[in-house]
Amino acid sequence: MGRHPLTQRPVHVAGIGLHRYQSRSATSYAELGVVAVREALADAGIGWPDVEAAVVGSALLGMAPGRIMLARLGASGLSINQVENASASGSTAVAQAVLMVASGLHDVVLAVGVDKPEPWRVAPAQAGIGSLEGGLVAPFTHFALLSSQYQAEHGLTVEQLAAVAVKNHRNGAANPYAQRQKVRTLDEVLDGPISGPFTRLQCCPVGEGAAAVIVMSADAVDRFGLKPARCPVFRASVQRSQGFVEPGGNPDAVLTVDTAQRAFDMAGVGPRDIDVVEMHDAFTIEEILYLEALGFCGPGEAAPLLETGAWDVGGRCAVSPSGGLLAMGHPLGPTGTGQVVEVARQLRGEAGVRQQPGARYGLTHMVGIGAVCVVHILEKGET
Amino acid sequence: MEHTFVPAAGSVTACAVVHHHVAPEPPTPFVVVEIALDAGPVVRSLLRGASPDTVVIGGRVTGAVDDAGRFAFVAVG
Repeated sequence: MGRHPLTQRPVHVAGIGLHRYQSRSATSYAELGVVAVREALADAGIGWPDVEAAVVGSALLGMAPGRIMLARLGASGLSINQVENASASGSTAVAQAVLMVASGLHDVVLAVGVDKPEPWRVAPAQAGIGSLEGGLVAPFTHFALLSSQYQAEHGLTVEQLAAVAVKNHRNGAANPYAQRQKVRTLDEVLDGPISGPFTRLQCCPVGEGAAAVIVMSADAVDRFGLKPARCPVFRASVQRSQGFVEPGGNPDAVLTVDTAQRAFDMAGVGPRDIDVVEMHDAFTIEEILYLEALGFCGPGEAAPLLETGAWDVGGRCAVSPSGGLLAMGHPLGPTGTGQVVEVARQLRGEAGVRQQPGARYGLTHMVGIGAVCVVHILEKGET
Repeated sequence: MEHTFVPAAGSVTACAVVHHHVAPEPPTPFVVVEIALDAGPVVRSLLRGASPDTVVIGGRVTGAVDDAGRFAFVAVG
């Protein structure tokens, strides 16, 4: 496999923007997206005509959502590219934007994730391959089964599992862009069973929203006179898909191990160097599984460390300071792009009460049906 | 493609009691299990007729067809 051009030509985050994640509303997807893009343009201090290409990530909108949305900003004739990669659609949009700049094709590229909670039509269910469970294993039950295995192996209690949601709802309560903005007690989290150990507040909400990231070459950062300290740099951008997994193994965790290791190798850092993480915590057990798969701690250690505050803002590594998928929300297309927004905000030191002190390196992690996985590692801009 | 037939008997490696389901059948709550078949493969299936309180990791199960011709696993022993 060849070297990613990112190792030769640095790519910076120059502008970030969001439309708050929210429950289904009458707002069109185009309006959601335009709000996020306008905020990112204003944040970067550039105009729409300065953007040379756009990558639109969505999973549920159907064919060709990008041009009609972006034309509201002006019919500039820029290159528009649509990507769909399930839950990782927004992450993949960022990865493609980074590649466009790193390769030297463009200097200023927009990645925008946008979605509305439309009915799912999942291709693997139409692949002509039957399954014994016959549609009984919804995503929350898939992860409930993984949780059952983990609980049996490591003695994880339902209270320890629910503590993940207590932390992430606390973070979400401090995030004005989060879909769920309410501090929750352990008793509240434990109420309302869904599947296995999961309750309603241990499952990500269904919603809509938009997130935008403008990435730039170093030349463009200089040309537009942007402050380097406000332009974190991508140190790794890695996409992988599921390989062979031993029977009974956890495909999402195995895939995360593979993808993360490649990202750490590319960035030249390790898990202990990471100060802030936004990860795919659609269900509480995922945060436990992926903290260990990413190498932040050993098997069986994630939950006990959570109890010590290691994953809190101000702890060893702030995990899902935005509130994560559990509280910030998981509107699919925007989610991975929104993770980069949060990490960039953290690395700039602009996250307010959610700020991880002294954050230098941040990591984003998403998995998607398939399974696919995308990991980005970013470093604070020069001061 | 050749078919390889394996006995539908094995042990539960994971279980979940499902309280929310989009379809009316089966009625909730029902139990979904992951099973390590004695022959090697790992499968997931409905565990028919199980009380949620009695399913245990390591419990023995076997495949069975009900009166309507529907296949699922049931607890044995």
